[in-house]
Amino acid sequence: MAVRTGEITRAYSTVSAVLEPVDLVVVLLYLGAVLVIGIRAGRHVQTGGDFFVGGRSLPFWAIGMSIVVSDIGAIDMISGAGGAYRYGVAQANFDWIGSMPAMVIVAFLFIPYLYRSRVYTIPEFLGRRYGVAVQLVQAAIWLGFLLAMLALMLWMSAVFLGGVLGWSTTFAIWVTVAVVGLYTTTGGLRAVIITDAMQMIVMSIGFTVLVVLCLVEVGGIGGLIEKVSALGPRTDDHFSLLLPHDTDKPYPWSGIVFGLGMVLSTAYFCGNQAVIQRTMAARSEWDAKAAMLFAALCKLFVPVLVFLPGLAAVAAHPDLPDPDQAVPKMIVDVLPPGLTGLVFAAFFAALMSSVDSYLNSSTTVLLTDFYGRGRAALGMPPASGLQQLRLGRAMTVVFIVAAGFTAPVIERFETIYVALQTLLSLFQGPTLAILLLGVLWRRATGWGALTALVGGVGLSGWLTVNGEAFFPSNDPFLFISFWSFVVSLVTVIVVSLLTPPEPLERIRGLVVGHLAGEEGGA
Amino acid sequence: MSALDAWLTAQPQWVWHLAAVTLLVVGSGWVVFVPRRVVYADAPDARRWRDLRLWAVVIAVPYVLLYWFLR
Repeated sequence: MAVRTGEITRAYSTVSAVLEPVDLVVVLLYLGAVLVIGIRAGRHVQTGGDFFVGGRSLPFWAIGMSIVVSDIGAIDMISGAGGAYRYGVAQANFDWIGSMPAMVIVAFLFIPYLYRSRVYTIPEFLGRRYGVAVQLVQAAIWLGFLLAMLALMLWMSAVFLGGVLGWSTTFAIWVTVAVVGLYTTTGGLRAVIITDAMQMIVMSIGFTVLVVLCLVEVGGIGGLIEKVSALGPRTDDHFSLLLPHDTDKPYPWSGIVFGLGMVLSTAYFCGNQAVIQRTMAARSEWDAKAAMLFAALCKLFVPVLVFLPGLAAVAAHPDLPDPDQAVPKMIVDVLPPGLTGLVFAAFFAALMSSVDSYLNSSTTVLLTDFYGRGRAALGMPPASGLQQLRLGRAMTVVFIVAAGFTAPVIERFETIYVALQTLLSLFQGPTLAILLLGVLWRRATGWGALTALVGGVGLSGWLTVNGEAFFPSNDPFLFISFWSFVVSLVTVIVVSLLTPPEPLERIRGLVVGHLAGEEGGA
Repeated sequence: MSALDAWLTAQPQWVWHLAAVTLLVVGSGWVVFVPRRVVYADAPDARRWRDLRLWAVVIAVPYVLLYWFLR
């Protein structure tokens, strides 16, 4: 999806022009409520464990909601609805087949190993399984991605907030830094998850109202289908979930099933630090698995809430020059004062949940995978719970303040979001291959994983540059992820068989047949 | 266009949907083979509603219906 940050901010500004004073009151009330709830949620944080994984005390429903709301993001709300305007319901594949099977696989296959090994991060798990080199490569990738996304989301939040309240972008950046920084620094992941759950409720209410009013505007579901279908060949397949293999749209059925459904989504949900860290905050292994399944259930409704307004815009405004204006147009058309403020609060909720997620996860990766590893390499004992907490809070402040200074620079790079997503997609196939074989195959070695990671990423990069010669789609990232996964899988197997096996003592509790507490079982 | 592309392009629409439904059914159905002790690990009690295998299968049903009927 070619998402440009400038298009998104222009979309926000379309709506902010029609806000009434009552809408501004709703947005400010929401901001205050998040701050109070976030700070109250973090009252009992006393150790690094409390800060990084919420003291492993949270119920499945809060974690499940947090996973969904962090995954949606305000960019997806605008560009996802824009995608529905352009391509129709095929856009929903990312939340349906691109989530559900993967979340089940993560719940039952990966979470038992991750939760029982009591890791904080995915690179930490890979480090225990394969050694320090794989851990550092993975951690460096994730830290870079998380920090860049933190600055980007902070900038977008500020543009949005500034547009709504009439503040300068710089002032809005520092207000957002203060609000998110305060509750994330005070309460760590627990505060993040509790505020996310609240944000999910606000988003659901706001978008349910929007969907209902959009449907009323276009004459119900029947009217929507009739009006969209009447537009001729350009909307012929707007109500088809799967499109032909040789379609000129970026979602051919083969790419959706094999690339997205089998590889990209599984890699995303089992390898994404922000997602997995949340499940590690569960009060039990059962809650961790249930959280992932509950999130899979919530995902069923995301396209209905987020993309349906985009489809309604096709019926109401069939000739929009910029599809990302679809949702803003419908908001202006159908929402009365007060409710516009609620939907705006929902947008801001999505932005804030992204900022707090990236902030907390980047701190966790830095302190677990670099600082923690560094101490071990120097022969120092692990940091105490209190030391971890102090360092965690200090680094949270450093990162959010640094992001505050970096955020204005983002404005100069309109395509940075696309670049970051493309960069991350290069690692998805190889990461899934080494995680999958790391858990399922005792014989997989550190050399096998490292070779597959480097080789797989190299292949993905090469295919990204030269992919048009091999694949029918203009945007072949789904096919690239599939083939980089297959090649990485073969590479792990071949190189592992050529190198000495990892000692059983080192990988005990991390592979099938040696799950902690189930030795010889599973 | 490679032979694989030609073959994928030639498949009728029902094959696309069958492939998607198969992925959903296999992707969620395999959990019925997960041992009970793993499913209930750490659970406060072993009540029927806590059987996460049941959750996975029930959640899969609307997805399967969507991919079979939304053509």
